[in-house]
Amino acid sequence: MLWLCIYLPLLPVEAYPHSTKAPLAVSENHRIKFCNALASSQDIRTGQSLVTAWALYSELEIKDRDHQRESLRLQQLADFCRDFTPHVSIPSGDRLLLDLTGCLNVHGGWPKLKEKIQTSHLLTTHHLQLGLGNTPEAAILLSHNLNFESETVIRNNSIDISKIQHLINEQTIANLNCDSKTIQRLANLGLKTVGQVKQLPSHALGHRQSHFFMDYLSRLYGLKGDVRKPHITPPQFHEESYSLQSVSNLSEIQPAFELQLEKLQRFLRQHQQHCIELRWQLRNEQRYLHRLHVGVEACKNNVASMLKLTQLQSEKQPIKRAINQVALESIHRPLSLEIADDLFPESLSRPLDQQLVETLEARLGRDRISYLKAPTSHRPDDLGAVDQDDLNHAKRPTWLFKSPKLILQRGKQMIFEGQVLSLLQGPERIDTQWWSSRCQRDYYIAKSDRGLRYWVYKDLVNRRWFVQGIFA
Amino acid sequence: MKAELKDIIDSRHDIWCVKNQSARLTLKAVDTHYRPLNDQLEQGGWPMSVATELLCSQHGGGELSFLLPAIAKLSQTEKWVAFIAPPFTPYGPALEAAGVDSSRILMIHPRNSKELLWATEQALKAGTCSAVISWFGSHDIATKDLRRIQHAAKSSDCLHIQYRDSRFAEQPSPAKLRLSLTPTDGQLALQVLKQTGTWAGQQIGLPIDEEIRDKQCNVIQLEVPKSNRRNALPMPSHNDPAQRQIVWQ
Repeated sequence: MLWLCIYLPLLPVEAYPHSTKAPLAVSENHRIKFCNALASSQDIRTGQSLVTAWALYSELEIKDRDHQRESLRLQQLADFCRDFTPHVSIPSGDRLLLDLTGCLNVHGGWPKLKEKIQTSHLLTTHHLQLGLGNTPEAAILLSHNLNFESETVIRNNSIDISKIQHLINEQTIANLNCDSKTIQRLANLGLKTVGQVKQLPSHALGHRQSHFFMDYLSRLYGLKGDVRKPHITPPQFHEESYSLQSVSNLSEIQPAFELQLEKLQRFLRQHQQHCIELRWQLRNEQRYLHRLHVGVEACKNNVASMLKLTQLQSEKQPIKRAINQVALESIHRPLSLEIADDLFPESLSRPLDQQLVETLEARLGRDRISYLKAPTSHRPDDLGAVDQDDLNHAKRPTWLFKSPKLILQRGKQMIFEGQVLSLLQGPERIDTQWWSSRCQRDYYIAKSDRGLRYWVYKDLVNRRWFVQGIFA
Repeated sequence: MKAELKDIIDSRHDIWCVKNQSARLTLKAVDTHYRPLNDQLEQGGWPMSVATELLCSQHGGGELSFLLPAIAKLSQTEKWVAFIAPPFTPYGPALEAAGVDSSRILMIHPRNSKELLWATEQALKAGTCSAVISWFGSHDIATKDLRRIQHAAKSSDCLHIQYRDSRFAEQPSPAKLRLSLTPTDGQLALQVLKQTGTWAGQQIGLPIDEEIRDKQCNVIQLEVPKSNRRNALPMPSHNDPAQRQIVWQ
């Protein structure tokens, strides 16, 4: 087992996006509780009163502690850490716990993984303290240690347990993950390090301390199992990006599309989702709103394909005013649903490529793409699947008019679009829909004096002649 | 001719010299199902990966039916058969009867010639179509656009047919094969206007109406409830002993 604890001691300050740019402090009970490096350089220290802090540096920005903001940021970081392992949990308000068992080989060993973590774009803005251990509690305990050298406990991509236990024994009792009363009681016994606590007979220690503490010690040394509930975020994606300047040119909006889609791709990978539709909202401060809905089911979460379809759709539906906000929502479903449950699926043939269809739909519109419908009834007008075996014996036209066209009758001549028609073959009686409006027709194949062939019928109800289709 | 220029021309397989009859285009082709037509086409069938122009002014002369055997064969692959800007609605039972898998038919209805060209190019470039049939009709397409489509067809592995109005027969076109279609009495007259790699001018007559004359149509009567039979109209008389009555339930 290999656990990594990422301790974020300055999370309350770093939860504010501008914390790296200006001196910033976070207060609690009218005292400075946390401050960033820029504030520390101005002699701002934890525990100072707000008046003192402002006296030392008048331009210091002080924020009230916002636990909700910290929690949201921590969840965001936990989601991001799924890039490293699928099992991420949040043991406390300033720590993340990553189960790295079996993950080191994937990332090319601990040194490379450590570099990835420390240089990743979300974590690089945070002050990190890493702790590695064979148990979750050992990792949490060692994350307190500023001098912890993680490389020393990893050998051939596996953890050196004896080395870890040695390090645990060296830790001061103040770092133990238990309440202050317990720590005080241990201190009253004259104990200073965790190793000294471990040396005490367990039954004697059990008499003096609660069973919670004994349980904690067992989990710390790996004598008892420690199951951690993984952090699960509901798979919803909503991201917004802003621009200081309003833009109306599509090429200027494209970077915002790319940025959002890259975030979406990471989200989809982390949550094992398959994106079906993108819902863009392009806005400005004058409440102008332009919506774009792009079907991307065939894109298979590919950013380039999704971007292409978005561009096509935005060319088709151009914005009418300049915008400065781009928001993206994703409609997605779990990837597990893509796998057929049947051992022997009904159709073994591969489905036809949908990417072309989505590209065409994005530019031309969904109403401009259609498929050949099988007829829903025996009346040729009802395009839409009855078994056509019986009809196959009769010759059918290749083109069908949307609605039959009337044939003019001059004496015994039938005139259609200036052509005189003569009947070649027929009739074929189609008598159907007696349950609603009865359709009784005699169909013939007719030929025009120009040599063109038509599918004509005589409506037996109103005795009029119509052209239904063309033998093209 | 300079030797250097001759070397360049000889090294290219897509340039045909009348003097050099052996340098022929080698393209994949799909059987037209009509022996006289196959004999006249350089590739022995409809050439793939090139643009083929069919020029006709009227609908109803069998201009699509004679293409259906090739489409039927191509529709058996797991690719789309794209119908771009068809003038009317294709009738599924007719295509099915010709052996075309109608589930492969993708119909695209562009609003104007710009969209028509774009959709054709996209379908050709996608690599997921076995056939792209575009009805350019009377749209006056610029030569540069036709060349662009020809270029897209070249990089594809599909049959590409362009239906154009006969009035464009006199205009030059980058299409590798151009045929003029004229319906005559019981036949579809084809004239080869252009064929890269060989001579043009061949005339072929394909029997279209024979099928209709040979096959007698059956009379279909649906079973109607007793209450409605009173209103049933008398059936036209038939002397053909081959006719049979089909009852649907």
